[in-house]
Amino acid sequence: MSANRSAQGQPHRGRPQVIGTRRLVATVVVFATTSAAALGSPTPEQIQFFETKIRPVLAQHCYQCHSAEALRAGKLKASLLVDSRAGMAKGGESGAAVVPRDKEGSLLLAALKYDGFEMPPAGKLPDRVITDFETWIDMGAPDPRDEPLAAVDERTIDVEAGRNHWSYRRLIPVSPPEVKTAGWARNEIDRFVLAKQEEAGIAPAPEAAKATLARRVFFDLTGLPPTPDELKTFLDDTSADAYEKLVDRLLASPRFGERWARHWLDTVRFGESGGYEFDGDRAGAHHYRDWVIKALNADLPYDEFLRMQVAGDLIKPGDLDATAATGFLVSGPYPGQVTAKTVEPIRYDQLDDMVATLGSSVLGMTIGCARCHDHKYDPIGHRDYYAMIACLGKAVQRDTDIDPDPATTKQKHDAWLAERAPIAAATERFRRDELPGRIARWMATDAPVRQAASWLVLDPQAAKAAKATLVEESEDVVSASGKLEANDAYVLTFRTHQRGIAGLRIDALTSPSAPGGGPGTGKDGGFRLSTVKITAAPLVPAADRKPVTPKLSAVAVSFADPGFEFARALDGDAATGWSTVAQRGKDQTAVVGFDKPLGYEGGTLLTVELKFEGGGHGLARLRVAATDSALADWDAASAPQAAREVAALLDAARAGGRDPATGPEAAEMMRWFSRLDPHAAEAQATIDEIDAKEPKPNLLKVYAATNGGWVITGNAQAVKTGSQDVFVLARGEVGRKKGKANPGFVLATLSADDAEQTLLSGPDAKTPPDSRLGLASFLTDVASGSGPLAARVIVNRLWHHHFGRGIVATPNDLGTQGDKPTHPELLEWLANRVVESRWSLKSIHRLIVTSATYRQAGTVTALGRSRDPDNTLLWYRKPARLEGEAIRDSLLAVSGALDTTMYGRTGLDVTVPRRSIYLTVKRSEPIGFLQVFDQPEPVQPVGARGVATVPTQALTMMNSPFVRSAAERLAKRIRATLAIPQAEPSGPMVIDACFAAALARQPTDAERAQFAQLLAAREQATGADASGRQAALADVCHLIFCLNEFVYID
Amino acid sequence: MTMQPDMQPHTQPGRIGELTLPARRAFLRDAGLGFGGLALATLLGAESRANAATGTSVARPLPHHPPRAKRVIWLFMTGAPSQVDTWDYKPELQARNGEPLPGADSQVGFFQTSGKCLASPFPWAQHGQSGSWVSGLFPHLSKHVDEMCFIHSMHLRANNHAPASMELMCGFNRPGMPSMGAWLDYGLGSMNQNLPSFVVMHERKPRGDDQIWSAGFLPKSHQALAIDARRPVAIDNLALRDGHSLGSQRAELDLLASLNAEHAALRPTQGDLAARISSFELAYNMQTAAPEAIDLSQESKLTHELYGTEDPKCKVFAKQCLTARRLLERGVRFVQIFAGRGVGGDGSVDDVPWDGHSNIETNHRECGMATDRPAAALLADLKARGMLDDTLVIWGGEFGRTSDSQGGRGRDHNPGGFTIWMAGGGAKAGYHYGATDPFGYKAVENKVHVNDLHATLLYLLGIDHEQLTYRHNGRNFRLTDVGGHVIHDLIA
Repeated sequence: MSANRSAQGQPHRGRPQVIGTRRLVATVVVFATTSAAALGSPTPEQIQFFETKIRPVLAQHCYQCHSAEALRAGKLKASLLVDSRAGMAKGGESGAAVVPRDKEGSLLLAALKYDGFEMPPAGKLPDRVITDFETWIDMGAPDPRDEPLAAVDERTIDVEAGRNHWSYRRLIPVSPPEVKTAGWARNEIDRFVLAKQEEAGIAPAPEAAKATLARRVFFDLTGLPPTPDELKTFLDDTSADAYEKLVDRLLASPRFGERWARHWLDTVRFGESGGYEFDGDRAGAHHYRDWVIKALNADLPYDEFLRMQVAGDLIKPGDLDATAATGFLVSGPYPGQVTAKTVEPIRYDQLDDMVATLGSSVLGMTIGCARCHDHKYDPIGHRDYYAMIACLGKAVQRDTDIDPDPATTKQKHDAWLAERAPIAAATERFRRDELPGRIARWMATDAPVRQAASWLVLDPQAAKAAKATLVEESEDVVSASGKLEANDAYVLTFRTHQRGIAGLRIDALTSPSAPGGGPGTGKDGGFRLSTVKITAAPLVPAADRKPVTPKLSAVAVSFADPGFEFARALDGDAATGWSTVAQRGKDQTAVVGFDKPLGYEGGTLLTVELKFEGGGHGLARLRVAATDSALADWDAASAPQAAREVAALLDAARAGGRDPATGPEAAEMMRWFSRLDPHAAEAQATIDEIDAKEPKPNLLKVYAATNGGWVITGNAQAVKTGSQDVFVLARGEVGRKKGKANPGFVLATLSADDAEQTLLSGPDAKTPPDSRLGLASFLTDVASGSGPLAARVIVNRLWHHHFGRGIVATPNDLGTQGDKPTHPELLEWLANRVVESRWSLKSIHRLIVTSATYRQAGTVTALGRSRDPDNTLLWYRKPARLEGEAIRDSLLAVSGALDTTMYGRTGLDVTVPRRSIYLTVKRSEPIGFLQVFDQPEPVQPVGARGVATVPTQALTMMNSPFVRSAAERLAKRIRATLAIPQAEPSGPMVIDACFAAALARQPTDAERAQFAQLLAAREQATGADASGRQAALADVCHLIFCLNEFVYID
Repeated sequence: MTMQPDMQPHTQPGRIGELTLPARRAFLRDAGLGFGGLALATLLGAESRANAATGTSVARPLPHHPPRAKRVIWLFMTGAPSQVDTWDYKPELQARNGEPLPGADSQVGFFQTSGKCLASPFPWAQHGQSGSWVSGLFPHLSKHVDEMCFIHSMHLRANNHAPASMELMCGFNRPGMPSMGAWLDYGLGSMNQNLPSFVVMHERKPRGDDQIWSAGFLPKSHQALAIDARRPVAIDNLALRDGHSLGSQRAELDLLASLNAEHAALRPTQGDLAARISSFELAYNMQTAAPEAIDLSQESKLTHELYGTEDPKCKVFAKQCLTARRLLERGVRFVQIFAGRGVGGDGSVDDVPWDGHSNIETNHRECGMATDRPAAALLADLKARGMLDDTLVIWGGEFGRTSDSQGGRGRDHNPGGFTIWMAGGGAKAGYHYGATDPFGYKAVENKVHVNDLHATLLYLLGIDHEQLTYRHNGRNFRLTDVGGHVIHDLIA
């Protein structure tokens, strides 16, 4: 009825900043499709029914929030009016409230039934009332209330208007303004800043002292203080560009990337564990962090930096850096326990996490708000949200194995192949020339091995358990050791060329080394086998050979506890299983039969999975045998596998008319025959030896995004692989799918609507690329995508970290609800500049930190304070407290403990002297030292950290062993440096050294005297011997660490 | 030092002024830090309190109306107790054990359930003047039913522990949101000078970890202090370092204050420098106040016996409850205890003890024994001290459990209906509100969503839940998201 809403009315003129304006839509009441006209006039009886059963209920329970009166009182909810027939038909945000004769389609009825919506909120109405409504809808919803529909304040998104929002529009070239004051400005930035100051009649502060400036820019660019030597080098350099040279040195330092990567990691909620239940570790997640450091150090162009994070795995498949970059998408917290009932909402939450992070960090927009409905303030449609997540619809998190150095790997492999070639040739000769004769002789002389035995004991190819360590203790017996815990799961694989396998026998064997003697690993010798799964797959694939998972039946068992029969291991219920505790200390056996015989031509790979769930233990020792008759007695004769396999292979070759010595069976046959013949064994061992030396790439597990079905990994109880399609969800609820979502972007950030398809189809429109590549283009395309917005967002972030406040003070929100820019032209100029400089962030850093604006002292004037108390015009430098990471790194640095090793996984120990960025970010175990100093929780993008002052920080500085050990170390270092044979360094000397190390300055005379007094007082307490003096000096160092000056940088 | 609830701002005369310097004196005066009475917490709290003069996003000053409760203790029954085995008696369920559960919903539960009724294995009886039904799990708490205000119709959205615990504490089933304790500290500030305002006690961390008691996007100053019952040191960095006494530390802090004051005097626009100076004074005081507050040896033998601190079955929870009472007495506003498990090793899991998936009888018996006596003692003790009137006690888990069985004798998760009770603090005593269906499966009458519970709790604390907001990522957030109705029926 209001389908052509967007054509109505003009944007509201009175509120120019509000885009996608709210406006009054005086919806014309259209009766044509409502009940009265379509179905004829209601009968008096029907009207009577409405007046007695329906209207009073609506009036009593609904009008308070859903009537014209509620609208006037500002209490209208969900834009829904139920005080007129038209209002009911039109419905609210979710669609028609009442559809005559359609109970399913009438949302009002669903709400009354508390199905989805729950109305009235105070409590469900009695069933008889709900029945009345059903009756009423069935009779066509007769309703005499034909008052015109009240005008509802309804918002529609005006995309065209949205494109004019200051941060969404195309980049506009800007020239720096003229300024009156000559000589102050060092670069263009200063002209923008000074012009505003001149307008306000205030003057900038003088340039800061050189030492102050050095400490500022060291912390700012590297997160570390200058060492006394570094400081001296700078102070001694009297050349005009000494400062610029220092800046260049710092920008080139590897410490730069470590500092600025931390800022970026805040904005992308980086973590190395899953959060939620169990908070599982993501061992390969640090590769993303390492990549960010590398990329920033290398000044990777920012557009490339973004594209890699969104689609690196598609742009450069198999490349370590490109794969690691996509950790961006999947760094968020996801539930660690997923069942069939939760997998779908969790998947949509995951997509929401990706797109919300992308929105906040890259686009400075709160796109997450559009999950349930159009964004309330910004021109971001519900449609845009689903278009964006549809671009990400295939992306899932995985640990991907990546070879960090494929060239070296190939080189080594080629060398190995060359070494192997003569041995392979010799093996080939042995097989051709020797093997047939030896087999023939063996057949002739060793006939008994071919005699029939009911059971063929299988020789495991591999055996692995989730917890225990499984070892092949002999040819056919596997034993468990190591973590013998409950709830284990074993997987054993076997190869065979037998056909017609009708069943398997699982032997549970006693074990002297098991805690209870076996056959289980429990203390009582028990086990509980809860699930058995057997899979047969062809060794030689062919179209007609599909892997099968036979249906299993319990054929026989040697013994079972009552209620724990063998059949319970096959019933599909993890909570039930087979156990034999009552007969502890005895070997046990169970036979499982298949619904149809197994065994492929060309051989079969049998996989036997045994689970011991529900708190039960696993098997201590086990053996598996196969039979071609499932009804064979479980204790009938057994034979080892090798002889029968050789025979089977010979039979197969002959039946196929192939030469067993050279045909496809040869290699397998030699392998089995080597069990029976020493010469064959020797030949086989030679080739095995070289094969074992095959160089393997040193694969890294990289936690990253990849395309795949949405398997959600983790402690998955019943995971399913779902569709990769993304659906639009009404109100964000997975139960309310409104059709498939097509990939696309936030329309208001495009140059025009049709740019969406152009960006999605890529430069080569013949094969539509992955929509994630389209998303990467969209984010960085300046001409038609959201490149201008991305540029504004990033230069504002840089500004934020250099000055403590962005040109827009809400760096994650450049939308209508975010703060307005204090210097819009400057921001625009910087955005242009970063694009022109081919997205070089270092060039922007350099511009900013070499500006006169940045170099100001902290001098405040009365005039300045009265005209601009908040320093929005940047007329002086405000001190800023260091972040927790920088405080910790400083303590390590000044005490001489800092280990500057880069990259890798470090763990949670705060005392490990690596830079803080390398400490593991485990969501359930934040590093206390960093947390207390406002390190944000890694769950949502954070653009501007809070800076709280709490007593636990003071306690940490006063009493924590970490700070104390830094103080002791610094004291020791100073005494060692100043050591003079036969003499103690003087009090003033050591105090000067402490100040130089920790504060990069000399103490004043008064300070020197006060600390000397403290040192003397402490020495009285700690003793005048060397260790006492050192402890006293440590107290002095410790106190210096507690100074505001240590953590507040001018 | 002595501390009383609602004490006046603490005064710490003298020492700080001994090493005076003119600049520091001038600075301290400018900063409003008179020597006679440093209103330290006021100063600290003012940085981010909701109704502080600057940066406010609160429409009206707090409290919005006279509060009924001044403090809260939330006994969080981690793992989710079954409503139909505790406080929600369902004769129909008892009568139809093993029969198909009417209305069994395949979407309810986290794993797989049978669809067949599982009767409660516990005996049930009526107690008190109110005739409230209580299962045999609570021989001690059942004596206090006439103090309790039961909500039988709780429901929420999430159906696994971590997200549900977040939802119950923060109103959202995803991490990153402030919890109720943080909101209260933000809204109401601190009632004491030397202790944090929001304290969490746990044994093993519950699923969801710090997210459950997070300050979320609120300033970190509203973060909970978490006391881990397993650790020898309750609060980090409280102990003086080796070789130091309070006296020697005092002398150092005096010098520190003096130097910091000189530094701050040169930076007059930087208000947080003053706050940091004060924070060292508060930290100094905490070093004596906090150990005193959690020192249970100061309690009488009778009190220890009442709580059961020596009873191996419940001693951990007993000590936590007793510690909580001492903290509340000393002006801590919000204490939350996450119940650990008992000692029988019946299969309950450390971090979700009430999670009776495999056997509701053995699991709940164990958890009941671990919590019943201390919780009852807390009620009795608060009452005896006249504190129950303005202390709100809340008991409950993150959701309920299924009325049908899982694996024969256990029950699966069920966020569709469960019971929480409150006592004291303005809650209607001996009162039952809302109901589940005849099988205790889903809340059907007077349903109470978490948002409604929060709205009501905030109301009792003098707060209009729609007016306690914080601006974050372009939106005003509140504890109750976009929902929540105060349920006046629950209020005495």
